[in-house]
Amino acid sequence: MQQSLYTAAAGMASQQTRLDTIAQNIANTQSAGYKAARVDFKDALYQTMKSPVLADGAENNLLVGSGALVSSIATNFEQGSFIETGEMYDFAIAGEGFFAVRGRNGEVLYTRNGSFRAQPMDDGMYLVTQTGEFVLGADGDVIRLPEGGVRVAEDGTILSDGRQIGRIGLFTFTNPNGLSKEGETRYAETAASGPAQAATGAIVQGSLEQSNVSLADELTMLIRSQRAYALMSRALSTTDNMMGLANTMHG
Amino acid sequence: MVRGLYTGATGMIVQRNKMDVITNNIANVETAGYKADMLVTSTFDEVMLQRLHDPNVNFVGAQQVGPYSYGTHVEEMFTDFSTGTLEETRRNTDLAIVGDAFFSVEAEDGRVLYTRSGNFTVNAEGYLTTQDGQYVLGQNGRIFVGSENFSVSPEGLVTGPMALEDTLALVSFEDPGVLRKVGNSLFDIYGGAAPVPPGDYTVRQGMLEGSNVSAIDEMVNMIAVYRNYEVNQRIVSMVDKSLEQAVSLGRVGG
Repeated sequence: MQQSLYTAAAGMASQQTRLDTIAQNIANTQSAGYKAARVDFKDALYQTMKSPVLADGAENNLLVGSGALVSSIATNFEQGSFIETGEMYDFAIAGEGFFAVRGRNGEVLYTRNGSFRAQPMDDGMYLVTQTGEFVLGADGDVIRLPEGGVRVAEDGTILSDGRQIGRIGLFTFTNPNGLSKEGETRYAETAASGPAQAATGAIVQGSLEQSNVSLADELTMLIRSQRAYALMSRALSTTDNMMGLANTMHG
Repeated sequence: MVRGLYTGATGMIVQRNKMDVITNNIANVETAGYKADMLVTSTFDEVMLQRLHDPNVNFVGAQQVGPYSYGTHVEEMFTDFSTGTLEETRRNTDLAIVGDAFFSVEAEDGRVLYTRSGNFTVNAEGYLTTQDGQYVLGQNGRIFVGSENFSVSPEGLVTGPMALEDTLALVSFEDPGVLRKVGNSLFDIYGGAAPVPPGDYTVRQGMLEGSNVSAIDEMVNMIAVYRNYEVNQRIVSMVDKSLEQAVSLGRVGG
């Protein structure tokens, strides 16, 4: 069976992954705190062909590749633009860092989406996300809000009537690209990301960070990917036709 | 006549090999730092045909008819090391080399391999690595950058608030033909050659070198290969038909 059939198929599968990622980016152009993903490729394994004129096992450089693979789906953590909402519990991060929230199973998740709200509970008001998970402070504990609103300073300090009552946590990682995506613009720490450390970013109250997806970039990439896909599918059908010719040699 | 059957078949095999190489180029048309391959073909060594049992020739020995080749075969691979298109990515960990140089990386088994694909990342320990986790090498070994917040000068000097200052170990080769692809966008040296210091080069941070595959060239090559394959197939079929005629000659009352 001919190698190029599988080579073309491997290339098409890689491009398909990129098309999926582009679709995901485009669907999230309006999601606060969303970070665009980028697919990178690498060439797959090479095998050495047999040279018909050299002795068996003699060195030759007749390599036949087996297509392309996805090498990574990396996240672009570039700053998104801010949109002013004037809401007391909307926060944006200027510079590096993630907010920490407590997930449904008690795990700590990290996000750049600072669209929070105050949730009244039996023993007072708490700062939670729009979907009701607790936002965590710099000490890793939940944040209890006082009556009558708060002001949040750049370093995350929560002030109520000029009195410091807590601090919103801001964390960063040595390798943010190693974080695992947990959906809803949230990430979880992994061995590849390294442990969470205090971040140097500044918190801006009353603003939200918009998605950093650039529609122009995504559409350009979409066209490139589509063209590459079409080219590979042409290689696939050419290989198919060649195999058809071989099959009809006698008859 | 039967010789023609095999000559046609060698043509088909060579075109099939060429198609494999072209398809690999096409599959890597979007692979950063990929270098296009080309298969060079050659004829088999020519042989002298001799005329045997010719009643008009009365001297001892056979009369030579002329040279004949048994067809074609793949000779060697040629890799085009020209620089691919540069694309701005604005990402700190993306590095592109303009000019004749390669990045050195440390493979899992400690060997040094070379690449033009500069889409690097920072691992959890703070070292600059490839996407597959091989360490990118500087003059002092592995490069510690601490975070993605570092900068690389056009000369390859890595600096940053947490980084240990180092210069990228960029190398060049007198004959890039000694490089052999090993997959994962990496090259290995074969034939015992040694890298030499690079000549003129510039490192660009926040940019990536794309594949140097030309989609149009590969498309044209693919059409040529297909038609070549087809014509060789015709030759084999024609020889087959002639043989069929020869076989049916002997049939009585057919």
